[in-house]
Amino acid sequence: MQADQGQTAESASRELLTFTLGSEEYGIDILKVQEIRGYESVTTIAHAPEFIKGVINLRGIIVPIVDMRIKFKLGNVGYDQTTVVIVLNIGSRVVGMVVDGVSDVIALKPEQIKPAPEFGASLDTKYLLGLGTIDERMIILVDIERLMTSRDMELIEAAETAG
Amino acid sequence: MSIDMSQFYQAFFEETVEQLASMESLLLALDLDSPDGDQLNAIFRAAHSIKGGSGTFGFNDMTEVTHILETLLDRIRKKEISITSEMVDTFLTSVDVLKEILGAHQSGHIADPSASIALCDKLERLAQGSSRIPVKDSKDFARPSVAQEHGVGTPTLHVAATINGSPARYTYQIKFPKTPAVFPSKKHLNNLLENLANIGNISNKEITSKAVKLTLNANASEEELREIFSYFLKPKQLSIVALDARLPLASPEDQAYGFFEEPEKIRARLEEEQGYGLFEDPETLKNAAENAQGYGFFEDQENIKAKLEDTQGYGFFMEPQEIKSSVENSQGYGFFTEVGEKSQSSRPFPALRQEESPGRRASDRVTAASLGDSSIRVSVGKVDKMVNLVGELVITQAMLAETVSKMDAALNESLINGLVQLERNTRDLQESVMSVRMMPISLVFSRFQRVVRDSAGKLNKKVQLKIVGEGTELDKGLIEKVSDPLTHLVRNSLDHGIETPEVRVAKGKNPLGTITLRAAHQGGNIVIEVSDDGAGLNRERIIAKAREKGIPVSDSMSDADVWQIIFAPGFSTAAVVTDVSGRGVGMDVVKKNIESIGGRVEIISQQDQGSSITIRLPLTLAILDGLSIAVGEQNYILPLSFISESLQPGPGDIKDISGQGKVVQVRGEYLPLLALHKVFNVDAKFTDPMEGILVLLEAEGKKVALQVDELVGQHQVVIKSLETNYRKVAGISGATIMGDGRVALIIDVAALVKLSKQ
Repeated sequence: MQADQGQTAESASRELLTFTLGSEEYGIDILKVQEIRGYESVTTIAHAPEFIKGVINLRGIIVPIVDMRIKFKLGNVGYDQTTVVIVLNIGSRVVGMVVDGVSDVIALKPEQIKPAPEFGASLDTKYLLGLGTIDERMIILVDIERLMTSRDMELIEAAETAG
Repeated sequence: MSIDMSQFYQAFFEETVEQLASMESLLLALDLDSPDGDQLNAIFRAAHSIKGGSGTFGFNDMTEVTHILETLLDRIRKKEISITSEMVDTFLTSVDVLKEILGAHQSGHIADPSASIALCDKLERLAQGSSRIPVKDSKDFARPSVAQEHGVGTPTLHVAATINGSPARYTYQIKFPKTPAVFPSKKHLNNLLENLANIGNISNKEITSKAVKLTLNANASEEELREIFSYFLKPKQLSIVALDARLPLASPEDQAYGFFEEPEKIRARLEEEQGYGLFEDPETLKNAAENAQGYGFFEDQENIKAKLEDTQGYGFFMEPQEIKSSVENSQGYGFFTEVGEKSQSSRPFPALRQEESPGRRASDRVTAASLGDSSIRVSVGKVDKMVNLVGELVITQAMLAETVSKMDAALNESLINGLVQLERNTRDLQESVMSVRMMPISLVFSRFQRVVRDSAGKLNKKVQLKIVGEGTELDKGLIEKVSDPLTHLVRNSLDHGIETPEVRVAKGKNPLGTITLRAAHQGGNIVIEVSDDGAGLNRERIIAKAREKGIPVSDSMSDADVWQIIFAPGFSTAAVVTDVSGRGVGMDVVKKNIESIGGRVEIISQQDQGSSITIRLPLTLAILDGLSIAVGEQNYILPLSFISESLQPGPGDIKDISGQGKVVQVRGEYLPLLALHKVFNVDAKFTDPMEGILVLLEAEGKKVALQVDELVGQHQVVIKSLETNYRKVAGISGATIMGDGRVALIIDVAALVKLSKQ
């Protein structure tokens, strides 16, 4: 799939990293992804919201870890060797995000992206860039930068008012 | 060959700021009754370097001010005139004006010339007023020579005429021979004539094959003229007759500057190597030196000759590339710096000066190189990066040490020994790197001489500033941050603390008030104290004022609590808002600033005895001595500086106070008990304080006992900001990485203590 994607990919197409959370598949701009790593034990932070697991030492940098499964209330949250953390570069910040699994790197052309309707996803529509369709799969495109810097995530001191 | 000077601007700005600062401190330290020659020389040199640098970079406004300043200073240091306090004041103003001009240039503007014009006038007045050598108007020599120095790299040769618009004062009839020995080529003669044209108007020029006769209208003194000619001629060959009765007397100290270089020559030298070959005949050199002997100015002629040969050696065999770089070098830094020192030695035989010039650049380069050996300018960013990397190294080393500690010591002896060695090296390296950031606090203290001097004058008070321990070093970042609060405290002492001389006498005190700035290392802290022997804080007035402002107070408050009130926002006890202080925007900002860099402020005050404000700061912001403690699964770091002791409470030491939580009795004192697991909402191994350990913490004069599960160990930790990627967390001041690679949070003790009050 990677190959024919490469052929169809045009300059206008977006490259996305897709990951799963519960039954939904999400896509984020691949340029925001620094690395993908396994979950390791964190140092918890007092009085932080539940979905902020704590901070880890990523080669000398203190990086907060957000568990999107808790944020999106996806129930069975466990941590083992297969738990995946996507390390994101948001502006000048580094944030780790725990997801159910990383699935793919895909390229989407503009015509494959439809505006997102108001729907009952766990994510507020204002953080969505649209819905992508590829091979009958529906991918929710997330504006990860906006999401992570929003007040909802409580990651940044004076987060811009979401919206 | 054009040289892009802009790359040297920054170096010039930095140098000049330093020069100005040193000038200021030297001026302030100057004893008017018996000025120290070395100090005067140093002040002069600073002024001179600034003049040289600014001239090179074409900052003419600075050059003009410094030139006049320097001329006056030169006469002072030669004891021709004696220094007065008015002069020192004016010199200090000059420093301010120069700073302003410099600031303007730095931001790419041109400073308002009115200040510098007023200053120049004042300086000239001073020069005239106290001159024992009459007639001479400093303007006359100042302007043309300034123009010449500006000429570096600019094609304008007649700047003098444009700068100095006033008509020429003196007319000279000049006659000199034109033999091949004197002027090997026509170029030399033209050079000379151009020189003359620079300072005045040539008329009635008669050039024969044997001699040249001309009339010159110029502002220059005869001595200055002779100086020009002495490049070319022996004095006895030259005949100068002044046609004007107002002929100025010689002023021996001034000429040196005007003749330093003339633009045409510099260009010639830059453009063609020919310039270097002109005087390579050592015979000429020797002759020149012998000429000098004729003046009888110098005892040690051998020395001079040696020096010349030295510089010549450098100058004549350089690769063009090298020459270029040395020119750049010297223009950037020391182009003119040596003139000040050399002016004395080289003035009497300017023929040598020319010999010297090409070489001098090289010798400048050598000087610059040797200076470079003793200190270099490095950007703070680079140092910070190094500090960070060393921090990582320390962590890695600790991780290795921890891994190895689990291994069999007998089997891995050499590995363990190696690691011990590594630990030692790492620690040394860390200390060295940290010391790079360390600067003496005198950088801040020195400016207060000026603050005190100026403010005391404005307030009609007599105040002396005592500085103790100015060599105490602390982190550069801290120095910058501590400077504003300190300024505020010093001003407060001046304004509110020290009384007027009359009041002081009435109180039976020395009319001269004293403010003491003291810095010292105390454990892991640096302690800075601003104390005065003034009136002290007025308890009644503070309480009254606090009531007025609606701050809750009671008459039975302890002194320490009352003093804390002055840190409240908007609080000022000053009866009158003065220029110096009293607007009430002070102490709360002082406190906030100090606390933001991990420091504390304490006040001790005694009515009519004075007050003393102590600032305690960590030595550096990057590294912290901490005690790691464990609560359940989590490790935290407590900064060692806040820990007074740790203990295991005995039965009956812990008391419940209904609705207030627990207190613990320690040697008769009841301290609030704070359980860390409750504060941070984590699971603890022990919830009963009797099973855990109590760490006694002290911050802002308050003590609390912190209950933890166990003490893990003492570490030096590298402080990392949580806010880089996350946000500020209440009760946490930062994070660090432990030996096992995990993150440990550093507890903000001051915040924790505050928490206990609620």
